[in-house]
Amino acid sequence: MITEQDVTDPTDGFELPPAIACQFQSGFFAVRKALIEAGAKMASADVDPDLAETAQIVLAEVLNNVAEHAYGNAEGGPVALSIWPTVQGLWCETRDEGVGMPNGQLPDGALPEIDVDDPMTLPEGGFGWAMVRQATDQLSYRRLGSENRLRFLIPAQ
Amino acid sequence: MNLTLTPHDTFAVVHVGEPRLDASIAIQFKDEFRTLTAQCGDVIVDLGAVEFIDSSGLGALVAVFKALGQGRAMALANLQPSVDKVMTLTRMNTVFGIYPSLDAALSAADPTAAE
Repeated sequence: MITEQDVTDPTDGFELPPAIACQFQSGFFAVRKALIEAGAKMASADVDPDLAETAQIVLAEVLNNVAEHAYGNAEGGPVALSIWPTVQGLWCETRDEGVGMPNGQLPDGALPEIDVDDPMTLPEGGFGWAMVRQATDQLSYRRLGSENRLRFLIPAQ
Repeated sequence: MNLTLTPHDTFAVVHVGEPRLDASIAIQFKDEFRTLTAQCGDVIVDLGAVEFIDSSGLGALVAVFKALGQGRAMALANLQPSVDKVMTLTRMNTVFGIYPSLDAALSAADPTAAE
């Protein structure tokens, strides 16, 4: 387990083996399967159920984004998910070898405009990064060689 | 896709029998839901069996709501905690009528006929 001191510099601590790790290949069905696997592993590791639930919501957005954008819906691209349960919450990291984020930047994650009085204009997308931004702390993205690396904390309440 | 429709007098209940309403089935869900509800009135969506929803699944719910057209309402019933969390995070709980149980939704839709 990473201690609070270890992660003062967010690049430290990640060298420790994660308590929870899943490796899989890109594709929406593979993401579904990986999320179910990660959920089961978090339950086995006695992660707080509410925290694990939030982690699954965030990881679904991050990993589906990898499948859809980094790998352009192509199946078979390598994806790795690691989770370190700590006193701060769940530190998560995803790695893939797809294309990088546009301009090397994460989307800003503003919630789409909602006008309840005009249902026909309701947004059908744009919720993903909004949820990620709201439910995480210390979200960081790096392109290292041919690899995308996303790290964030799902904070304990 | 496990979707079943139970018709009532002025509305219908669609039971979603899928444990995960996610990116892998969102398009199929939209297509089948639209076909199923083409002829009915207002719709109550029973999400009791849905343990998990992602932004694609949420987008699919918005899409089928819009496909009902002006003048037909859609409410959600029986949300599990994770699904409820997604509705709150995205503020879509301000768009859909959300009922804690199917009975509560049925009572609201037709006070005289609720079980």
